[in-house]
Amino acid sequence: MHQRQVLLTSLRLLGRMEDAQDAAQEAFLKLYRNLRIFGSLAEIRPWLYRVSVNVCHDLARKRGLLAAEAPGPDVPVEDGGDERIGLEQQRVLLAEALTYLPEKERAAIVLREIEGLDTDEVAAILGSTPATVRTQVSTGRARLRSIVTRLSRRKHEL
Amino acid sequence: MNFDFPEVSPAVYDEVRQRVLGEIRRQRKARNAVRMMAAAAACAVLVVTGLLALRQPAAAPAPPMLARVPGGPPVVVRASPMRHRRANRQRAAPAQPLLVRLETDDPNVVILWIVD
Repeated sequence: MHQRQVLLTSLRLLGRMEDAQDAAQEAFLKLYRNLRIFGSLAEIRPWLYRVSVNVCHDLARKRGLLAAEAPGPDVPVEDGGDERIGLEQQRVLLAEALTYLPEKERAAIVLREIEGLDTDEVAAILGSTPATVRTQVSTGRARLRSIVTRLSRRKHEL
Repeated sequence: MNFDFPEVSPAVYDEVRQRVLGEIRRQRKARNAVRMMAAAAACAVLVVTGLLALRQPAAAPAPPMLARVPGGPPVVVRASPMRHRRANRQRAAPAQPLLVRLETDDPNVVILWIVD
């Protein structure tokens, strides 16, 4: 039931399936060890999101993942820039671009935009305020557009 | 920006599930092994303690303390060696009262002291 939630969130946060599987394994083992603390099934979902995000952050720091800077100089993004590349290529670029975002912005974008959670839920999971989450999502989206454009240009040049 | 990512193959979920279950089994086995070792060690300690207790003679009880003199050494009664009574010990006949006659310088005064 929760395996999709945990695995996909980990995949978006870490960018590689092998790392995401390790993170998901760790998150489910934590869930197994803490099953007694839950009064109802509804409490598990937000808890699992929080644990997944924390496990991914720990794993990324431990393995030195996602430390690289975004490629190329910062470029202004014109509207409609996304449509010039195909949908599949856009997905690939977006997945790669996510890994260049700062940790907290990446988590906010993944939970709010990809997992579709409310801003309040995201704030509760990340331990911040809804206003901070809104700012992180807005900044993250702008940064993502810029990174996707840079990655796209770089791939066209190659 | 399109955030629709493709779904992951079910085989990947299965792999994660198998890994989690395998890890849980491994941890359970390790925990049971530790418990078994602890139980075996406790049994061994009990057996060794019991054997030692059987081999050693009972130690003589400490002499009882009668009183404590403030500032002085404690007064103890030493355990006396066991006495063996003689089997055919004859009881002494009831003693006659002892009469002590004390003569003084004055010949008219004599002190008679009867001792029981």
